Amino acid sequence: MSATQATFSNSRYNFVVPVEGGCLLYSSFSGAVIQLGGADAALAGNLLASRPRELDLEVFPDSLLADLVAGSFIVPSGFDELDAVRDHFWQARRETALALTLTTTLDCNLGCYYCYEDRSEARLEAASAADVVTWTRRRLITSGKKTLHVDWYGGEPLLNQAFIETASVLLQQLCVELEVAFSASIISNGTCWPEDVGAFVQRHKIRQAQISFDGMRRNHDQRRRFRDKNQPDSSFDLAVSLVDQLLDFVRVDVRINIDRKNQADVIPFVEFAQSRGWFQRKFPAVIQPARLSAYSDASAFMRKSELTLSEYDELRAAVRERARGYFSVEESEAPEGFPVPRSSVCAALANDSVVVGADDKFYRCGLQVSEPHRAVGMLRPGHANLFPILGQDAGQQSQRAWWDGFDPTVLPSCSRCSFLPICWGGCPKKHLEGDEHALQEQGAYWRRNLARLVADGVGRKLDRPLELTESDQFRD
Amino acid sequence: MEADLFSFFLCSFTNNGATINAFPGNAIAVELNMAAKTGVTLIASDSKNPIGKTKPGTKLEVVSVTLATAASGKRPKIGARLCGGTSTCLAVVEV
Repeated sequence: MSATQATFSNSRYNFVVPVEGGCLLYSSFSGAVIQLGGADAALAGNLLASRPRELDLEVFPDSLLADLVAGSFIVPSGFDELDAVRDHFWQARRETALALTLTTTLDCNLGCYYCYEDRSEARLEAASAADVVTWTRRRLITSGKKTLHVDWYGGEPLLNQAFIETASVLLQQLCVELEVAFSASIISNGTCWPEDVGAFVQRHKIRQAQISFDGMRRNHDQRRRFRDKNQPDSSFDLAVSLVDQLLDFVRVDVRINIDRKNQADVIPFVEFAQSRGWFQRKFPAVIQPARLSAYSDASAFMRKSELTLSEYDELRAAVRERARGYFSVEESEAPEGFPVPRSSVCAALANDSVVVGADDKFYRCGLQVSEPHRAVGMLRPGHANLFPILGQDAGQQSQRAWWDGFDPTVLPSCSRCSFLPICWGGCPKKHLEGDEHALQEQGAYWRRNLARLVADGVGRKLDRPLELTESDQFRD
Repeated sequence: MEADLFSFFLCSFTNNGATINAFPGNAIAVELNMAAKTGVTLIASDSKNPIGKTKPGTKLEVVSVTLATAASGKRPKIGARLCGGTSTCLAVVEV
C-alpha cells in the first residue's frame, strides 16, 4: 500500500522551529530535520507539530510526503510511538557498555564548601582489587560485552594511587585474556598527580580526564582550599599546571563549577584558558560548564546559592558565544551539540554497570557513594553467591529493585512528554529522590533550549529566540 | 463524509491554539476544505482576513529539504554517561 493510500497521523514528537526563510520541522523521535519553505511552510509545520491526529495526506506535495515518512514525522495511524520509545530505552539499558566506576577513596585533600561527600578515610584496599576483577570477569562473560570502561572516582581518586596501580593492571590483564577492549577516565581535582603524567595516562589507558575549576585563582583557592592549612600551594596553580601537561596526552574536560558566588569568573576563566593555549593543543580542552546544585541529600543547602536555570543558561550562552569556532563547549544534556534521540543510558541505568564505593559496597549512581542506605549490594557477600550484586540485605534489594524497574515511559509525566526520546526522563536519581524541583528544571531546559539546539545543529539561524511552552511539551 | 473540524492558528508556535503571532504582521488563517477526504483536515479560522484559502484537492505550497535524516540523527552507541541533566554532577563519559 502506498503512503497516500494508508492512514497516517502526525507524530507526537514533532516540533516546529521558525528560522530565517521558513521553518524547521524536527522529530525528537528520529532526530530528522526538514526545512520547509514556500507560502504554506508555517501552516504545514504547525499542522504537523500539533496534537496528533489523522491526516489527509493529499494536501502534502509528494516530495514532502516522502521526507515526512522517512523522518517519522508521520506514522501509520495506530502506531504506538511510546511503545517504540520504550523498546529503545530497554535496549539501551541492555546494550550500553559496561562501565565500572571505582571509588578509590572518599578522602579528599580539598575542602570544597559544596561537597556532597563525607570525606571519610574509607578506601579500597589492594585486596578489594581481586574481588573487583572477579566480579568484572563474571559480568563480562555473562553479558558478552566486548568493552570495559573504568572510571576512577573519589573523593580524590589519586589519593589512593596504590589501588589504581593494582586494579588497573589486573583489569587490563583480564581484558587481554577475554579479548575485551579496555579504556579509562578519571575525575580529579588536579592537585596530586604523579610527576610523569604522560606515563600515568598511558599506563592506565586513560582517554578522558575531568579537572574541575571554581573560577579564577582567588575564588578557586578560596573555595577549593586545602584541608591541610600548612599546604603552601595554590590548588589553582597545581590544577592549571596539570592541564598544561595533560593536553599532550589526553582529552581534558575542563569543568567550571558555577554558582551565584563565582559566576563573574566564568568568562575570565575561559579567556584565561584561551590565553594559555588550551584549545590549540594536541588534545584541545573541552569546556564543561556545570551548575553547582543540590546533588544529593548531603548538599541540600546548595539550593540557596545555586543559579536559577535561566541565569545558568544565560551564562552558558555567553560561553558558547565566546567559543564560536575556537573551542568546544559541552552541554551535558546534548553532548553532540544537537538533540539526538538517546540510544544509551547513564551508567546508573546500564544493566551491566556498577559503582564500587570506597566501603566495598555496590551503588548504581556515583553520587550515592556517601549514602550507604542507597547501596544495592556488596562486593564481598557474606556467603557464596554467583552474583554478588544480589545482596541479601532487604534495603539493598529494595534499592536495586527501584533501579532495575526504572522506566520513564511509564511515568505519568514523562510518558506524556514530547521531549521523552531525547531526555528519557533525565537524571533517574532525581526521580528516586522525588526531587520535583530538579525534575521541573529538566523539562524547562528543553523548553528553553530545544529550538536553539535544532537550528544550530543544522546550521540555521533562529528567526527569533523561541521558548517552547508546556503545551508543546504535553499534547494531551 | 463529514470532516472533522478544529481550529488551527498558523501563528501559534505553541501548538495549543493560542493566538500568538509567530510571524509578526501576518494575521494568518487558512481554510482547507477537505470535506470529501477521509481523515480530516479542515483547518478553519475566524480571522476576517485569511491570507490564503485552499480549494479542495489542492496541495499546500511547501518546498522542503532534508537537513538531517533519521539515520544521521542516530547517536553512535558509544555513550555511557555517568551523568547528565541540568544539575550536572559527574562527568559525561563516552565509552
